Amino acid sequence: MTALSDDRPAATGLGGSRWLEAVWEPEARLYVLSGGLEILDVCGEGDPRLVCADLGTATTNSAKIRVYKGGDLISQHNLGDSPSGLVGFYSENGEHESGALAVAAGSSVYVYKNMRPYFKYCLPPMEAHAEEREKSLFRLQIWHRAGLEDDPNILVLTEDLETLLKEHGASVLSPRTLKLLGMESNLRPSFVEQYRRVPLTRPGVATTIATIRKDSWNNVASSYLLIGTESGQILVLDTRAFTVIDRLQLGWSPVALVGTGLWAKESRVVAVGRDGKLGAVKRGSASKLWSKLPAPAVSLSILPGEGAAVAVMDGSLWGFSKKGARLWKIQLPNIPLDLVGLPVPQRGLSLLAVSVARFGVRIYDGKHHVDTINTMEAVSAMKYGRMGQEERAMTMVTVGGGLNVRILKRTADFSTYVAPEMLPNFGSRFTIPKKTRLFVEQTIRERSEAVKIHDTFHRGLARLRLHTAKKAVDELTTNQDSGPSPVIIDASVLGLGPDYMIKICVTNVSDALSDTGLFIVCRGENADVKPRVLNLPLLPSTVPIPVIVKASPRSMISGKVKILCCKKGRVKPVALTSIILPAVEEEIQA
Amino acid sequence: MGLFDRLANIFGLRKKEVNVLVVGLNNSGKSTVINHFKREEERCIDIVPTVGFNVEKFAFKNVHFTAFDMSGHDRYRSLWEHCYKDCQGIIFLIDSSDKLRLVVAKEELDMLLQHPDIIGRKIPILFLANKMDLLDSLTTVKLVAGLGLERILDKPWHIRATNAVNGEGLQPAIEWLTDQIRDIYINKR
Repeated sequence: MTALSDDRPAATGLGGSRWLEAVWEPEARLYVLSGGLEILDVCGEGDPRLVCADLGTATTNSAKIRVYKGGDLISQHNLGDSPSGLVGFYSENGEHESGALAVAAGSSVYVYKNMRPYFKYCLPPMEAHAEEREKSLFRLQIWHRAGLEDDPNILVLTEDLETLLKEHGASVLSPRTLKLLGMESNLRPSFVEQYRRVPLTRPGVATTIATIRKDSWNNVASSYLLIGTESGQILVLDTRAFTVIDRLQLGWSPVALVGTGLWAKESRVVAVGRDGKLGAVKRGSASKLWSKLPAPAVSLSILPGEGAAVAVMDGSLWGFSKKGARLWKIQLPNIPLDLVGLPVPQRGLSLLAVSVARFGVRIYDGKHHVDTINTMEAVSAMKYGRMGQEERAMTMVTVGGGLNVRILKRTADFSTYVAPEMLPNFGSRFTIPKKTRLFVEQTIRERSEAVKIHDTFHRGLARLRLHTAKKAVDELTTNQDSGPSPVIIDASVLGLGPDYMIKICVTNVSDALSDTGLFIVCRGENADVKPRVLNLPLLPSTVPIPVIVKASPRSMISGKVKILCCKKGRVKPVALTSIILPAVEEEIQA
Repeated sequence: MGLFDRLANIFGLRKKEVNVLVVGLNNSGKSTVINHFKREEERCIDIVPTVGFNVEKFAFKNVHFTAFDMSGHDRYRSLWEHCYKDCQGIIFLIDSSDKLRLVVAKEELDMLLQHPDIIGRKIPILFLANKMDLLDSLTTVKLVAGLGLERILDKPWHIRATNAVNGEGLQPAIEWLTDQIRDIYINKR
């Protein structure tokens, strides 16, 4: 016996957790929400680190980017504005050194390389609200033309703007109007005087950020930035020159984006809005609304086969296909806080991890619950991926600000449930001509689901056998068209053994001649019978016809011979009898 | 078995050939350590991540070692257990600067110790706390506690901080392993 003590019995057994706890820092004081975690090789050393968009404390505006190595904070960078999301990306194919971090905050996107500020992209300003612009222009024009000392028009203007604010809410008004309304009234004239000639604009606000692969499925592949804006656009930003290469019109402001496919070939951006709208937009075509969710969405994740899963605030988790059809909906035990994809390529699985308040992190394979990570506190943000040298690290930030890293065990097996409707084309992509696509898809399916296909084949085979047996039984039990037997047979054993003679008397008991094609079959159990099959001639009425066969038991035990009188072309025998061959006596030694 | 066979056995063992298994997580320095044990002229200049495993031979103190340098990568770790049966010593490498994966190393070690081919055997295990030169490396004391080595009571084990790049600490470590193997396998028969 090894001396490994018994305090960890479940560690290797099946009942143990599939996760190893690597880091637990309850006092990390991180305030991170969904979409605020990224694991990125910030220095290009092949050592990916955790980057968090820390929103700071609620009282002070102290948003920071924090970089962790394992559980240790190695650097932090102040942000002027609260971050709405951050992503890591590569600007060149196959070059680890080109890794960079993009942080969307306020009306800018800050790009860091080697964790040093590298570029600041300002979102294009939006058109100010038409009414607002018109009113300001109109009133100010009048006021200007009149050239009055007093400022009744400013009063009217502020009143107008206030009604506008009440009607539409603060989000559609420009910061200038908001500032004017927030000012003391004696400061307003000078403010208006200062700014009235400057055209009224509203800065664009980045609501979320994501990436889409440019032209390669490789591990390190260049991608474009997708920036969701308040104005309902998605800006596609080139990561070399930081120019907008395309604007996808969504029509409503997204809060989470997922880019699927390759931008250069076929791509799709799935977006979820603040009001529960879920839709997708393709390059060069109008957006398509998939569904209107009953409650605001919490987080969005990609599903295998380019579909999407959405965690919704009413405590449900929805799965959608790539065409936008609803695949499944499951009810979670409590409200979800975050959702991430959990690919396990070693097992050919693509799971979903949902953080549920008071229930830890629940792991689903499609709609089936397969595992739960129990955590001390509810988890507000998660990220799964390679961290440091570990490829299967699940990083979690709790609502209390703790940092937790769990590592999926090498031996972890999620096969407690076997997915019957796994999507084809599972997790593998090839660039193939259309002609061979069908063949390749079939091959992939055969390879990935060999066991299932084999099972299906066996099920089919068993069903076929059962069907055949049933038919045979039916045939045997129902095929009695000849009525009562016209032929009787009786048999007797002659001789002392070990070779016996069986005399079979076949009598036609009907009034006419017997049927043609009658024959006798002798089936010996533990006895050899010769000949086994005898053809019978036409039998005249009531004349017994004797037939002789030879029989010898194979051993000392008595044998049994079954004699069947059959007709050709019929399954059921016409008459049947059986006789016992007596046991052979010991040969008398002379 | 006759006297002649026994004599042949003894003479056969005079060669003192032993198999040692070199395991540890990826990037912990297994191949670098083995490379350092080889003779000057046989050494490789650059070490790349091992795929599958490599078999290397070297001699120390009149004992000929056949080292199975196993790949520590995630997907090759399942190969380790196939070599447990035929080995007379285990070298377990730990990257002492990788605090994050200390639990993974512990998990792999526990699986190794509970394997049926290892569990009842008195087999010497040499732990090398590699990368001692790095600033954030853990001390051997912390590693003993972190890996729970004090619970191994039925096997001789030894831990040593090493630096496989310049070979620091490797000489005394392999000396210990050689002495243990000599005690257990060679002198016994």
